[in-house]
Amino acid sequence: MKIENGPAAVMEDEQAKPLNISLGRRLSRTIPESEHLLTSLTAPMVHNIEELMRETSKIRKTPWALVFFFVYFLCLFMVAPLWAQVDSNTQDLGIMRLVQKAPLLSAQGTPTTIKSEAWQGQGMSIADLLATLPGIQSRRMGGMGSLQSISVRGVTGNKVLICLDGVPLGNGANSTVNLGAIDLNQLESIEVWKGQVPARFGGNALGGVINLVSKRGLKKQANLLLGYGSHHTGEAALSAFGELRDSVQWHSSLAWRFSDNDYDFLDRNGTEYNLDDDRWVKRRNAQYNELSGTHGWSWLKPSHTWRLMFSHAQEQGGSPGREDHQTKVSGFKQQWIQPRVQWLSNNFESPWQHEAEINTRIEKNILHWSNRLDALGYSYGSMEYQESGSVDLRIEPSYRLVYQSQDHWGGEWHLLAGHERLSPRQYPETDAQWKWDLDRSFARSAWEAFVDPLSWLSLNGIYHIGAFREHNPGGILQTTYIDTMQARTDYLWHQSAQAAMGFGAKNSPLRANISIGRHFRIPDLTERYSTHLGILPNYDLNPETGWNFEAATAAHIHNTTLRATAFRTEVNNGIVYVYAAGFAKPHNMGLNRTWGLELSLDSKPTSFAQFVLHGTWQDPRNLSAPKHYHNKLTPNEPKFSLSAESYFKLPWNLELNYRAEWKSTLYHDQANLMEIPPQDNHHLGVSWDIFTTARISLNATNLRGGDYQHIHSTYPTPGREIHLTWNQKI
Amino acid sequence: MNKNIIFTLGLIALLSGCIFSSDDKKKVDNKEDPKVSQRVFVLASDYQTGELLWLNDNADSLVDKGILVHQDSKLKGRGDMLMVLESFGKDNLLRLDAKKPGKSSIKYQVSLPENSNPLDMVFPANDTAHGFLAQGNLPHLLKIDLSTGKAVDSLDLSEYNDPSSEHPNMQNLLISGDSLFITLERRKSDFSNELNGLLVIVDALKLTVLDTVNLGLFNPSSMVSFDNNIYVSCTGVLPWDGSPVPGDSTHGVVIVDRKTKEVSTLAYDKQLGGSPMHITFDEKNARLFITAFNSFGNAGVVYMSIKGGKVKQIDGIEDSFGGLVFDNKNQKLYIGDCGMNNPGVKVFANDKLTTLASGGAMPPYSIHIANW
Repeated sequence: MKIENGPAAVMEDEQAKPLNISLGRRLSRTIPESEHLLTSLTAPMVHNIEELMRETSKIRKTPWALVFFFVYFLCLFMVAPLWAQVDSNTQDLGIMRLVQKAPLLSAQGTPTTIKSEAWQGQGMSIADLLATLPGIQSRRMGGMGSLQSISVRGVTGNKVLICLDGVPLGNGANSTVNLGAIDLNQLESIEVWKGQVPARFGGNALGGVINLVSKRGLKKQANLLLGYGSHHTGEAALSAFGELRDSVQWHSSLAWRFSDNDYDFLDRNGTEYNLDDDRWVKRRNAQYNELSGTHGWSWLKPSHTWRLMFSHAQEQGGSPGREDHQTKVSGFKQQWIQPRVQWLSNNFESPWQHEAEINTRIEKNILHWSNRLDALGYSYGSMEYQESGSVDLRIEPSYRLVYQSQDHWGGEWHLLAGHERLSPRQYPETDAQWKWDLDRSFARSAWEAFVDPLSWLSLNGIYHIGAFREHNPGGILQTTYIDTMQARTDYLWHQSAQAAMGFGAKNSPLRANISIGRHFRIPDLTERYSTHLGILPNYDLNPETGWNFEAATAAHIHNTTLRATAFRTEVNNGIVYVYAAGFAKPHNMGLNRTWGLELSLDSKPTSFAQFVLHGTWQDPRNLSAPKHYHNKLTPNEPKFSLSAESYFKLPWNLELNYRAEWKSTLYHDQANLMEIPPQDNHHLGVSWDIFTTARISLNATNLRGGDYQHIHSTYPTPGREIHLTWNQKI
Repeated sequence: MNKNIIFTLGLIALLSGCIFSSDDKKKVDNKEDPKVSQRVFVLASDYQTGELLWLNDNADSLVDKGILVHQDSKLKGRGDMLMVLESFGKDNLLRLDAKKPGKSSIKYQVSLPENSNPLDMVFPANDTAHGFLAQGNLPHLLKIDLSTGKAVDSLDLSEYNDPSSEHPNMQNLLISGDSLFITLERRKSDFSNELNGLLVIVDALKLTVLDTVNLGLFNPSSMVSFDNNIYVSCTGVLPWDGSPVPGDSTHGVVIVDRKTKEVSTLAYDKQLGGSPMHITFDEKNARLFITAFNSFGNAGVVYMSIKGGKVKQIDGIEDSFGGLVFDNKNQKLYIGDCGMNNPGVKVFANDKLTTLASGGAMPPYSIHIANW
């Protein structure tokens, strides 16, 4: 994925459009609709083939994939000089411009920024997009809208802070954010902070920060996008910008996407040692649709600017269940709005800049199911159809003061307060009624200071402190038994710090930085107080804490940028669920440590070809006390992963792109028994720019099929898919 | 030409190495030793992953690598036939040869009806071709053809449901001669109880109900038989931590006289030190070993004479929810201690407690002793 680095990447640079990365067309598999695909005559033959494929898949995916990548890049670099000789015969269409900037690594932290052009019209999810970056792994449990999450340098799930315009998306019910529920067509860019995290995000980011930046009319360009693809997957997005007066601007975007997600997969019927009952079936009850939008107004005054923004989304879909246990009606609905009022000082002659804002978020999440129709195994009776969920209300005023002197030093003070209330929603209301409201109030303050004592040296430090008050007013709470929970109030406080050094002059082609930081994660309200059947509360839960270290260097020579980063992350007091007699209870007993190396190569040897290579070597280990976990690999973390992309500008405004990924063996479980063999996947796409204002893209993704599913953790993903998109500037 | 041959052979060797190399770092032990006539099997689980393990031929440690099965599985069997009941979430029945365990000794793995949740299985002495299977989430008792794992007959017990539920929560089975005994929890649809536990007596040949016995306490979870009596542990209504409840206790071990159908209480939870769960029987000394659930993660093992009297506790056990089986052949008690601090399979013999070496195995979840 073409990336741009540096704080300046947050500001739009219209002169340096990164490459548009087209992703694959998805070829749908032609399968008869009958579930009983195989007749008794053909079943033995097909099953033998399937068994053979399984047994040899490891060969296909391991040594030969490595051979493939080696030969592929060898050919590319050998052939490239030949292309250079014919460079004069190729049109420079002026669309693909490589940003030729010095790699900006500074002590203030350098996010990786992915611009919207990189994913527009590709039908890609945020998790898939982020996983093209080194140090990031993704996991998905289905098609569009399904649960998708990432890990950053071995730090998983809820410990990575996912924000929308700086506001955390996780809430008191669950700090794990489903990235599959976010439409990329609503975003302007994505910032990825893996090591250093700016003060404004707080210290609550053990695994770094992914900040999703919503569209805000920076491009001053209206745009229409229409797309359609396999499994009745479609998307439409419209964004517009306007100026009522010189000082009043507005922007608005709406996006809609949907999918039947009725892809084919092999149902092994939950019997690993019995191949006779395997059959190809369609994914059912996996339909999804989402409508989302972002709207804003800006009033520019001589000394300050007012901004009003609100984002909203409504999604609903089916929860199809496991491979061998597909549901019929189970599903979910989520609705949220996020209004924001912001005041910014505009006096650029003054070294002081002020920023005040109030962020609010109202979110409702409801699951529904039928014990009978979804065959969930529990007694039916009066509880045949049920709904369960929560409503989360949050308000967060904040103030930020920035000082930037002319003498290469400055600082920032950030003050944030907030209140959150989590309330239940349930249908039907049983005798053991859910009657809880959980409250959390907090205040945080952060200080950041930076100085450039020498032309080649910069220093940066951040300190953060936070205080939290959590209150449970008591009431009847059905957990594992009918019990009345007593009212209680808990107080927590925590602090974090971070220090960094940057080396290299600003225009130097060679730069480096080192950083070390300590962060934390406050337990979810539902981890402490428990609102789920079968899970006991633990009032003594402490925040998870952790350290991260990073040493990075980057060099830019001619048209090639090379980055290398060594990192180490550690999570202490990890919250782990301990099971006994069928119940579960969270405890602070997890210890995970990951060290690794990230390498990135971005090269444009000719005007019509570009190659990007990302590789990650890491050793992610679970070092917690239980001997059956100790020193095992962290779940879902491969020791080696590679992503390779190539782009070619062809005549007649055509662009061809090819992307491949490879992961080494990983395990789905903590005991490292659910092995996922090495996997590779390939994506191909072609785009055509017509009339200088429109682009048509045709992409094929997952050319080798869906992700491998372990028999004991089976959530099938789509296989080959085709996607056609029309992107029109208005 | 010679170079081409050498290259081709080298390529074939490389391919062969890839094809025949195994992901299994350690080979599974599946050899049969004629001197071995008993093997102890352990289902290890962390509620995410399940692994079927067994003691080595020296019976002093668990093997390093076993067979992956569903994390919620019960082990049952007769002779050299081991059955793995893959419970709710998989609903499978897996049979393998206990004499030479390993993937290659798996006879079959069949899928049971959806929502079956198989919890127990017994095998009539006078019918080696069939077994009876208790389904925890369905109202039918199944008669299974052991050669195929398929159901060939069933008995509908839905007349004993709680009115709000669609099945009677079958729990345990016990067979004695031609009589089959089935315990039913009879919970409501919200998991609470209004009805006591029920013991159903069935003619195993005709598969018809002969009689029922109201156990007086709630939620029967395990039973053993000796002489004319059946001893049933009733875990009681939630909460299980023994906190005081209005009226009489609902947790305890009851005795059912098979002839008179009279029910008496051997011991309540307060005497046992916790709500009884697993129960197993030492025939030689006529004593019961019982898992007593005290609180989350705290379920010790106590023992007492079947005639009542003093209850003694085995020290050093944290959470015996992971299984409790008495080896009457060798006079050893196998305890599946799944406690947080020192999980493992422990052996109580001659008043001494030892821990079997288990390497990096997950905590025990179910134990079965196969004798042939």
